[in-house]
Amino acid sequence: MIDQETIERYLKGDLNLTEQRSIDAQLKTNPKLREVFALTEDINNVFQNKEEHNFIENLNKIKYNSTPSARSNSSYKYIRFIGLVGLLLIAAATGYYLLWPQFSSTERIHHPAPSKIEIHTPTKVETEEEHSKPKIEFAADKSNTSTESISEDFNWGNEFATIAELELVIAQSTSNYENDWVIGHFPLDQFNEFNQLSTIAFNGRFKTDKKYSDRDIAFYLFNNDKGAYENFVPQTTYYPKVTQAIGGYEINLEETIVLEDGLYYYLIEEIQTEEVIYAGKFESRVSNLF
Amino acid sequence: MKSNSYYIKGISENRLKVLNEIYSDFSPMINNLVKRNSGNDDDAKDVFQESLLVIFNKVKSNQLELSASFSTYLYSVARLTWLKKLKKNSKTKVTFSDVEEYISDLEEDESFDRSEKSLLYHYHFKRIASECQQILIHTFNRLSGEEIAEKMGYTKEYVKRKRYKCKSHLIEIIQNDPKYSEIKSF
Repeated sequence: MIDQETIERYLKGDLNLTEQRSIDAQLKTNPKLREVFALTEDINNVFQNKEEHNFIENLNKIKYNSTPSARSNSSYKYIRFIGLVGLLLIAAATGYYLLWPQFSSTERIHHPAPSKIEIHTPTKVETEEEHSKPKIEFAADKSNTSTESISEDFNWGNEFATIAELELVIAQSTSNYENDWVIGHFPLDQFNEFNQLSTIAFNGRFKTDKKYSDRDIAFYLFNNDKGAYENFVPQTTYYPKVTQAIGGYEINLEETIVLEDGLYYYLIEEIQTEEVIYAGKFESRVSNLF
Repeated sequence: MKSNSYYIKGISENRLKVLNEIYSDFSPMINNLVKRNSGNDDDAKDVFQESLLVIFNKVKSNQLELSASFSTYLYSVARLTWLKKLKKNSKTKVTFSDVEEYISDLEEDESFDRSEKSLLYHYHFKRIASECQQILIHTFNRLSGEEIAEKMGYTKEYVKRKRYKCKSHLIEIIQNDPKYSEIKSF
């Protein structure tokens, strides 16, 4: 299979004569390859047209933001009323959740601001009971990487389906390191649940003889879209803070992100070598409380 | 009553205010057209977008000469857009009994397929990770890997690796869309 870089270089005319002839020969006999080349060229042409791109951006703004007729009819008013009632119920349930003593624990997020986030202590092992609590999901601990153990009776949708390849990466990476790794994910504050705004907090240590600095290690976050992983197109990439510790390094990350409900995987990789230092997963179920 | 030139100039200059006015002035007409002919609200929105993109590209390439009102032209473009979609989907045999103006000129027009493709590509572009979108946009704007790395605070190696992966992913999701099979011409 010809990789994307070669396709682009061929289209630009950057290949040498031998390489070019080799591809020409393959194109003659392979219609699927011809299609990929043609589509690549077509995409380049379409997106290089800045004016058209900007026009389509504006068309999309109309399509999704302008529905004047729907807003004026009675059904919209009814929906708005239902929404208001829903909001009140959410507020009541949130108050109940925050104030009722049986829910209080060390993982409880008492403060909405990111600076006040509580992160698991690395040595702590969570119990099954703690895992099943609403609102907060921690699943990166190597002793607890199975999501099935979290909620066997919950009827997950596809967004919680696992990716076999990544499960394997997790199993391999967790067996490679002796230290504890923790990831926390929770909403910033209760009312931001509508946007599913969350904070991801990660802390971990690993042993190594290598020398690292901040930009040497990346934290790749994937949802459970298999294609995105196979093509290595993470939902987002962070560069965690890397500090030297005894015998190795400590990695710290705290980022705010909008997360839909679903299963998320993360890979901590050495950028240069693409070596996986650690892999884990967690579930976002911020809207599952109600 | 707004003039033809008001709408055309607004489209040409990509003015969101005018595009919103066109939407509120003419979307009921297009909704009616599509829904009377086996379509639904989503189809009508797609037809509206495609029709405006066809007109935009015609304006930009100086191929647009209006001899009737803007609404008549928009209606003709929308009708042909919807007819082409129906033919592709082979949903039903459709005949329109109203305005025939412009139709013969537009029937063989390649800009319809072009617009449909552009919108499909953009739709999928919006579905890939925002980091990928940024890297690809910079790439389409012919920025070098080094420039992109500097702008985004990445290493050059990372950008190089990433942009091909992003492009490859975009191509894959477009190819997997059944709509793409209907419109591809290669």
